[in-house]
Amino acid sequence: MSSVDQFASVFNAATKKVFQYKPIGFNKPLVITDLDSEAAVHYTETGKQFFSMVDGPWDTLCASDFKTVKELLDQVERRKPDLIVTYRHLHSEAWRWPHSLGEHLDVLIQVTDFPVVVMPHPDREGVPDQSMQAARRVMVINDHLAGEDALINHAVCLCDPEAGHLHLTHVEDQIVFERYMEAISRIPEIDTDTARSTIQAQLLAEVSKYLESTADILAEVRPNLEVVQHINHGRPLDTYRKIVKDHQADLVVLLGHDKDQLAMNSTAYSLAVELRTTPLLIV
Amino acid sequence: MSKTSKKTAGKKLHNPLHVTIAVGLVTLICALMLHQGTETKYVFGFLLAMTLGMLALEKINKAILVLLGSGIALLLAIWRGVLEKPDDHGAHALPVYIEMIDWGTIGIIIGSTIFVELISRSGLFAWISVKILKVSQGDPFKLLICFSGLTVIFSAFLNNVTAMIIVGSLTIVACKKLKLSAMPFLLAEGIYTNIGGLLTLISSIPNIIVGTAARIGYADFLVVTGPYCLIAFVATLYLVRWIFKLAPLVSAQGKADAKAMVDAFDEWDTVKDKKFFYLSALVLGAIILGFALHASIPVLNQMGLEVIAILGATVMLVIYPTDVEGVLNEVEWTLVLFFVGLFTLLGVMEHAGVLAMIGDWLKYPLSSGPATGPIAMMWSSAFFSGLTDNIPLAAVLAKVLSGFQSQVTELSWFAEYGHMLWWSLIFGAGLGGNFTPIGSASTVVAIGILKKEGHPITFMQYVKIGAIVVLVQLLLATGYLFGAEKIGLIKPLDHGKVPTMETQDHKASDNH
Repeated sequence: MSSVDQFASVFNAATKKVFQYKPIGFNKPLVITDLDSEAAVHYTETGKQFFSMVDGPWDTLCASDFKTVKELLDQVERRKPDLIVTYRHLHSEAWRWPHSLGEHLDVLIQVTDFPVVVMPHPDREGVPDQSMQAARRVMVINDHLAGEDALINHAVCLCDPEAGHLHLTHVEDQIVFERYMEAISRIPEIDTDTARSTIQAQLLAEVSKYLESTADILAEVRPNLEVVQHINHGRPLDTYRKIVKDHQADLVVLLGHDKDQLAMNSTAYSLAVELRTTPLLIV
Repeated sequence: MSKTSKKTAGKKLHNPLHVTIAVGLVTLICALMLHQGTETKYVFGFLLAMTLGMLALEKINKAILVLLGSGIALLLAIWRGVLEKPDDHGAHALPVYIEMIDWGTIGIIIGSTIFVELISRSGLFAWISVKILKVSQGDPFKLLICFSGLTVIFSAFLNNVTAMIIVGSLTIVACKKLKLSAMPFLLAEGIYTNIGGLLTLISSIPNIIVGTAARIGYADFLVVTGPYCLIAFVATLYLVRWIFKLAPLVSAQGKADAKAMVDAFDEWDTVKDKKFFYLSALVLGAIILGFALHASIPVLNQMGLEVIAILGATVMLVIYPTDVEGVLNEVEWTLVLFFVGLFTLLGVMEHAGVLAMIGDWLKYPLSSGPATGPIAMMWSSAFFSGLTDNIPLAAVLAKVLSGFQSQVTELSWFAEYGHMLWWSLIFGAGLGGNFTPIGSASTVVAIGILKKEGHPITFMQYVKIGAIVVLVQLLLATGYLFGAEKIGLIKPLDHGKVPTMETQDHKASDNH
């Protein structure tokens, strides 16, 4: 302990990102469908049932309200909603092939600043292909979870206030980690074993501290909410999918807008494409 | 491997051929001068001037340089009979050059480096730093007060560079979080290390050298320097605030945000082992008490302060057996070898009459009067401390004053205000370091941190600030010393207690 860098590391490690609770309310939800008006109303009712804690008059767009992406964006601009509820492959048959979100949703997520809920695709009568209950088990996913208060605040807002389970998940990408370790193993000045254990511990410790502070604060403001932490090393996509499946998540909340990149980050996009039967909230 | 490369990386290394030629040339010139009958004191004076001059240029590692200078001095001194030959006192006698070394100072350096390193590892200093940071609530002016206070406390008990490293690194981290410029804080800390370094007898090397030579006790030292440090602390605080126009936070939102930022620090995250942390705090408290009460602790009072430092280090090594080799590697061997060389060099100079010659030169300004003598001593030592390392300066002047002390019965002016000269040297050597960015090692560290963080500061930019600070501090110190003497805070030194050259020689003979 004799250099500025050593002490700066100690002090940097002593700062922790603390979760700050900020209640979020939705007053102007908008349901976007490509169904006829009757089926669209039915689909909206499904949405209302699922998001029972969302106030405000629900607005609905049906097939005749828009056709192109431009028309959709114009409609959204006119209505200025604070929450959009929709599904993949609007005005397209491509929903049968689960390899994209469809052009409308792709653009919508990038253009809009407000949260977008991606629901399972409905059948012709506007009924989702599996039962839609209240969001009791809400799972929060992000590669950089520490510091993303908004993500958790949105999840808390949409989680069943009486019997909700909030799953906070973080997966450190093992492949990326191994790449850096391989580089470190070729640098004689750095002890590889020490680097491996200390970096691994530090990466998980930061998230762990943040999630602990989240659990402590939520225990005060939402005492009926059960908070479960999942912190792992592994392949993010596989691990998140496994947690969603194992815990039967009703809603998955993930970060769609990254400060450093305009498009959705790779893990969020992959999950949005893959998790077709679980509602997603993209913040 | 990493440590060695890290320490040498980026440092300019000397050219071995140039050094060899220079050493050969200086030795040859001195040998020829001695052979031709030039007076010994002039030849050795030339050697001392060459060594200290090269030291000021900082082209060669200071330990290597002083060891070379002392080596040449020893060889020439033995050759010309200035020193007794090593075997003159029989097989069991210590060679004269071993006795020249102040092992007390070296013991304090080794002991304190070890226990400070171990206490650092316990997280105690970082814990205290974060606690103090939280007191500031992130307000810039309160932050300046807290960091400055912390620097003074740390530099009073640690060496100035360690204090600067700890507080400087926290400053960088905290300022980044608070989106503040670190420059005013780091420059202020560099200045405050020199104020804190004045506080106790063991706070800085010049204090140890001069205080030990003058036989000033730990508590007596603190009684004199403590009030001044408090005055200088407050004055410098407002001076820095004025220079950098630091404004406190006004808006409620700004205050709340800043408070949230500093509250995000968790002081316990700096502590890995609470048991080790508490034991370290206990040992540190015992060491400080040991230094403070040294004179009244039976048995220990018969030994020097270095025994407390070494004892503290040993206890800490017993508590923390995890990395004994690593801890021992942290001992500042450059500093230890530098002192071995410096004490040997000055010992030879004393025997060669060089120090007496310097004393004769200094006699005129120092004996000019009870007011002008101490002022000349304080301001000139401050000026030279600002330009170069204050350790050789303090060591040379301490030897010169010891020389006067040995003739106190003949020098009535020294008997009258010799105590003021000792204190003037302590204050001048301690405060002068703020004058230039190279005047003290801690300021060099502060400026290094600023440069690394993208805020380079030029020599003249610093001098514009440093000159104002030093001027104010020296004016305050001058007034304070005379005021303190008037009210009896500074007492005339007990001439029986202060070692004279004769008593030192007798002591050496007794040891033989």
